[in-house]
Amino acid sequence: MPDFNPVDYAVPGFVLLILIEVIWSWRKRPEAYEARDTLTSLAFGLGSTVAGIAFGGIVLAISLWLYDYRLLTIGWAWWAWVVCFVLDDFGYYWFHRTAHRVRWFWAAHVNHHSSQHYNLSTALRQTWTGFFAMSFIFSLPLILLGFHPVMIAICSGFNLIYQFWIHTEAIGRMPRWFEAVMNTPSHHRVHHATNPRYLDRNYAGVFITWDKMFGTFEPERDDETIQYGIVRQLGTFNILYSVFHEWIGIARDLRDAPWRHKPSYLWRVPGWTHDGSRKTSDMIRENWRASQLEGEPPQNNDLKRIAEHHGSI
Amino acid sequence: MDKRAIASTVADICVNCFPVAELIQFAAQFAVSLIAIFAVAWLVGKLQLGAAPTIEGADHASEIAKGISHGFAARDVVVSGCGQAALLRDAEGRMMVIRRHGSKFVGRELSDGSGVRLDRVCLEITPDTAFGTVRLEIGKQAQHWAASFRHLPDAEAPHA
Repeated sequence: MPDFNPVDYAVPGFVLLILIEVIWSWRKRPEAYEARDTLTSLAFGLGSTVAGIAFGGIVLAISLWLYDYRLLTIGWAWWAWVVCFVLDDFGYYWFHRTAHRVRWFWAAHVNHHSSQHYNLSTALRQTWTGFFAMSFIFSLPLILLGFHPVMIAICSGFNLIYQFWIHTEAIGRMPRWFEAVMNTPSHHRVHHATNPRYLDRNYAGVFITWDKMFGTFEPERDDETIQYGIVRQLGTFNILYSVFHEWIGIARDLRDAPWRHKPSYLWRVPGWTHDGSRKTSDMIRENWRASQLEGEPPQNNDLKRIAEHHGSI
Repeated sequence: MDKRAIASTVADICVNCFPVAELIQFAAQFAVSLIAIFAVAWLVGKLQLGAAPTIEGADHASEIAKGISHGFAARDVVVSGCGQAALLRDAEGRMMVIRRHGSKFVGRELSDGSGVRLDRVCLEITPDTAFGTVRLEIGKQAQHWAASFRHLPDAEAPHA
């Protein structure tokens, strides 16, 4: 059984590319970096590595146990690696889409989006609570299908490595053929944007084709300035609050919500409330579309109508 | 069981449960990573990247507010003397406070005046603990703006 984590070998490359991007920022775009944001992002990365070491053994144990119940035995042939990589990326798309659309998983994933900057240090801004959120369950179908857990882990590692370089504003567009199939800095800038047009779009890991297939693709527009971050920006560089803020929000909502609505604060889309007091991404986008059609900012009663439509199902 | 055997058993358990060599290696890697993190952040600061911006007037504040909360069209704006913060009000009486955060801006819509304190020519607004307190030095306008909080849906008069 191979003992190999590609991400470990990529770390020096990550550091080198960040330093190159910092130099690019100094020469071309000084606002692309900010010291405290960079420190917070990199601290996130270090903490996520520690969390991975702490809980990785448990995930591996569960995976190996589940592998005993596999449907097929696919083995280690070269083509198995190719198929595994593609299917793992397909699984990643669905994990990532769920992580934006189900608040429980969003509470772990939000960390990655919480920077208002978009640079290579943002790529390392990874969650500490992924194990607690049980995000690993999205890998289980591949294991049951018959791919060895270590093969899946290695493919996932290469998937993550690929996603590192797309977290930059230093690259505009790749060639059209590349943009058509692969995830790119342009596609992923859209994903990290809080612009209403761009919310909950472009979930791809490696292949953007999944977004095109399942209706979640949005191209980047040159005439629209991207605002990065989350809808309700953190406003703090405090690492602990940044890590746990959404979990804290869930706890408060569970405490305060009527009993019949409590489960919804775990599984519904982020921003959902039983009384419509906050906005979901869908509401923000609808509101924006309405204002585009009418050519003026919407009034509050439009927001209430949208809230009633989305909030009380 | 004699003392040597007990000590040997305990040592075996400690080594198996807490492999010292691996722990030392992990601690060393962690320390190196921590140093690298601070070094990169230091470099970013040394190169003076991400300079702190200022709010350059009412129009600028309005644009910032629109980016924070789509659909918020400010009608009245007051910018703090230092340009680090602003308070805005739209046609329906909704209010938003914005402030500098690093090299960006952040904001919060305000539902009531409970986190607002009037200090003669200053308003101190604390939307929530994590967001912190925003101090707006706006001169004689402070009292006028403080009164606006009474018209918010969950209004409570700001305290002096």
